[in-house]
Amino acid sequence: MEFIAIAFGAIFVNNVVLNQFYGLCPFLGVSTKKSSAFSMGMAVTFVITLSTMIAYTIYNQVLVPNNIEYLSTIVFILVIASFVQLVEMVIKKFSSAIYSALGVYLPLITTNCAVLGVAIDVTVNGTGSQKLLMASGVAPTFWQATVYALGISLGYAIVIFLFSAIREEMDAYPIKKNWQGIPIALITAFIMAMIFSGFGGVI
Amino acid sequence: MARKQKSLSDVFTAGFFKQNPVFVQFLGMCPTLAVTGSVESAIGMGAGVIFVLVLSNLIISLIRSAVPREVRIPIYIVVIASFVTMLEMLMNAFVPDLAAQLGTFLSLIVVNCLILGRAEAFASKNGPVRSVLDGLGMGIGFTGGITLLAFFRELLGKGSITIWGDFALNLIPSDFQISILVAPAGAFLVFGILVSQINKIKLRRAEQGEVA
Repeated sequence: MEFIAIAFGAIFVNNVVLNQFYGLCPFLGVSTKKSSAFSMGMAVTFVITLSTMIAYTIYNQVLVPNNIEYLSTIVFILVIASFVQLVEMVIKKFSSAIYSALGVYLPLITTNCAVLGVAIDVTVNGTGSQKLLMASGVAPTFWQATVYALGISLGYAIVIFLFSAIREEMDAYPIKKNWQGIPIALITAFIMAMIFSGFGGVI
Repeated sequence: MARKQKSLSDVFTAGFFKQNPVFVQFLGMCPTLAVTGSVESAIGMGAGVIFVLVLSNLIISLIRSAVPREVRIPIYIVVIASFVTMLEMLMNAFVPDLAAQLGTFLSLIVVNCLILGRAEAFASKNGPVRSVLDGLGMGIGFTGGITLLAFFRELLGKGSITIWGDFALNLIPSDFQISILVAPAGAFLVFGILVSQINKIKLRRAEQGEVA
């Protein structure tokens, strides 16, 4: 039950894009086509979940016992960058079908702040996860952190896919020249964010 | 070099309007939208970005000839991450309230595409003096952009502007405040409207340029 609450909160209430503003660059950049948005969503889900598990383990097994928590930002970004490289090499070797679908997006993920943001949120008591994970002031367990990361990344995948579907439809309508592109996309995101804020009443 | 090098003042002022990182290049959008709920945190974020951007541009331009091309991005990221860690420690020591307000986004300066973008596009190709000026100009442009956004959000959403706790400017009575603007969703709305209006000015300028 507890895990369901965390997952629901992470996917809808604290939605990573619309509520916490993580990962906006790819959200606006890679959402012009449904197929590429879907691939990006899948790649992000995979990387966020696994890199959070790794970052959580390193933080609690290496950084905390040695009192070097202040190094967490450098360590996390290095872990994420090398993990993304590793994933890219493994996928390239074993499945060319997945590689051709996700390959272009993998290097971009290193600088997707959702990956680093979630890793920091589940360990260093970040702002994003406070309501869900740290309400009682206790650090989350490994599985709580993992479920949170999975929920956050699924929320990302769902929102970027919905958003790309709306943007594809929007192409058919005449939009004033100064509103084309980013401005109208931001207004669309505003309406989606208002709808998602309605989920706040559920928990 | 085929093209003539830009003058130093051009390097410095490019970030103000022509290549403004917030409204023209759309770099570093996550902090742009996340910390603009109040003018105070926007200025704090801007100061942090200027600090990291200037120092990382300086170091990267100094080591640019020693860095092998293949591994330049990881090296840049380590340089930037070191300065961000320094910034985190400084802010937690001297302005803990502001550090708490910015929260995770203080650490997320590491992956702010503005900083890595300038390292790759400018500091890796130019000398230290020009790189520092570029970092300073881009940083000021970024701060100005997010402060403008924060100004509209806080003014229309809360009816007042509060900076450093003691300076408060009450302008709009509570009946006329639009509280959605300070909620996360409002960031998208205000930013979208501002970008569209800036596009309008740019389009008009371009038309006039063609006529003249």
